[in-house]
Amino acid sequence: MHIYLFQRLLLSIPVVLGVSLLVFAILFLSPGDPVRTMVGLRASEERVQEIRAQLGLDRPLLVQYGRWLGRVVQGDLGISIAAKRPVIHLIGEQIPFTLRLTLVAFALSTLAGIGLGMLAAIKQHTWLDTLITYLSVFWFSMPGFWLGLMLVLVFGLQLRWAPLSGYQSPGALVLPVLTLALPQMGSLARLVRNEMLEVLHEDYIRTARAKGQHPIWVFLHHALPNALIPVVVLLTLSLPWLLGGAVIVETIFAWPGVGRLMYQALMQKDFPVVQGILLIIAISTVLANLLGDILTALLDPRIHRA
Amino acid sequence: MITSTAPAPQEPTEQAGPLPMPDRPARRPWQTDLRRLWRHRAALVGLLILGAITMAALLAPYLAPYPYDAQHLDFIRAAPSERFLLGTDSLGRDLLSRLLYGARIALLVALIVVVIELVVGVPLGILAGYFGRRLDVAIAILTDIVWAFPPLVLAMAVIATVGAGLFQAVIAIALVSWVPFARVTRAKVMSIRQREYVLASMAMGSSHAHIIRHHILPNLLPTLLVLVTLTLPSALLMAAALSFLGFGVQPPTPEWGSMLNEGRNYMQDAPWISTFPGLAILLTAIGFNLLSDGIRDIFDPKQTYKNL
Repeated sequence: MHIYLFQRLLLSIPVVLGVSLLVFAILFLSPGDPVRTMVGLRASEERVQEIRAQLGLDRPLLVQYGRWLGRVVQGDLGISIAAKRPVIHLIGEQIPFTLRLTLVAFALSTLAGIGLGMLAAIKQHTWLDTLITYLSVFWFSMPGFWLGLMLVLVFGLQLRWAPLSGYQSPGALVLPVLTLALPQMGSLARLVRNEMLEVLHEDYIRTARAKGQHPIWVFLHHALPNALIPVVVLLTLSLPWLLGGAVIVETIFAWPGVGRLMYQALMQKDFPVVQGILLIIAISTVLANLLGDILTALLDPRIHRA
Repeated sequence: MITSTAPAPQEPTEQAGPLPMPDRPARRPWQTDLRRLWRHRAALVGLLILGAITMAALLAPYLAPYPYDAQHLDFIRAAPSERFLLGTDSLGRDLLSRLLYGARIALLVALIVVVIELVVGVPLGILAGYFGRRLDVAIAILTDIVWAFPPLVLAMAVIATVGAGLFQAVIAIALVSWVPFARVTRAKVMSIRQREYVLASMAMGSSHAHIIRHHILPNLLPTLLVLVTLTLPSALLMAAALSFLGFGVQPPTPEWGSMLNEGRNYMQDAPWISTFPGLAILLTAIGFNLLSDGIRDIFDPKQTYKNL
């Protein structure tokens, strides 16, 4: 198992390098001239050249990549073209807002998803199972951006139960959290149900039942831990994905987080910010992947991979 | 090993759990598969929904009461009425007509995206799973790199560099989401490669190309069918999300996501502009997901690809 984990760790080095190369490449594939965007159309060609030299944008690509990587490793993600401030500060200021949103949504969808999935599995072939199964299909078919708008329409504009935007009051959290959590809850409920059913058909469950153990004990002690292994892995993987979903939710609800920062940066072609956010999300995903693999190996003694 | 003998008894196909079967599902003729799909209630509902939407897309010119770009300037943001069944948008265009034409774009985009994913992902998966070793490691690194980014965000970044548009959106979505095809194909090929008939064929000196064409690919088909139906709804949703954010299909093309976005500013006075396109997206996604549930229950009763 140690060898397996070591190999996984080793493999993530080229992955992180590749991620950084891809993120770096985005700047160079982009049309238009970031320096031109920065100084405006009226600036003279000499001024543009001057700034380009200042930023080192006139050097060979590989040199630029090396320099950029060197700075990134030291936590310097460059200066935002639009805000004229260090990207790392911009992101740092926004991360708490995004985390507040995504962590609450994550907790809610996890609890509700696991609960509903277990309920459906226990009550398999009853109306409750059918209901939960159809509901989860409904929720994970839901386009998040439309759900957000509809929640605003119903609870904000019509019933006036929740504030439409802003982020000060705890009430402002309700609609964005629901928009993020409900679709996630749907896919989780389905996964938990399927895992649970699979485990409940295993031989060791039948054995435990045949021994005369109490059904609740069999469920809690034998079925649940095994069914939750893939769920735990999926959850570690889904945190960065929730950050992706935050782009839509934060844009709709004018929530001041990394997602909205990303959207604005993309609209303004503020590529240093785009690169910074992509890099942070991607590296946290790689770490989450690693964590997922470690957790699986720790939780599941049956693992014999690699 | 090969377990296709007597026709399996008709289990209740709703049941997603593993059926009392040997190692892998017994192979059945296509006819039986179709019949099982027909009896799968959820899949049938999905098929009906998708059938209706496909009909709407095909017959849009005949069903639409108006051309999708005809402006009725006296009826700007008119509420649903007898004349405009679903109301009009902020340029006075009939929403129903635009929705019907939008079905063409939605279905076409989802299909093309999935075909590109298939073309990119499956060969990579076969190479990795069949030849293994260094090639496998290299492809694993490549898939890990692409999969490190949330697909929507990466697609947005790609579009920001190459410019917005229908074509760019299709390419961007496919480029960021072929990974499941590569991973699942790899795993499946690795297991097929170990079967006796493949080993026998190797022992007889068949070429790699021959083995891949005659032994690997045919056995891969059910898996790919499941994957295609699984990825169609996510391609649909991502295309709509991109257009909604202004990164996909641009107005005045009647695309559901961008129609929804156009209605955002009129949520208070004309909520129908955003409501109906969203309903159309939701309904199509539900149709795809129900169908893929059924196809998965039939072709993959052990639910091998549940984590996608």
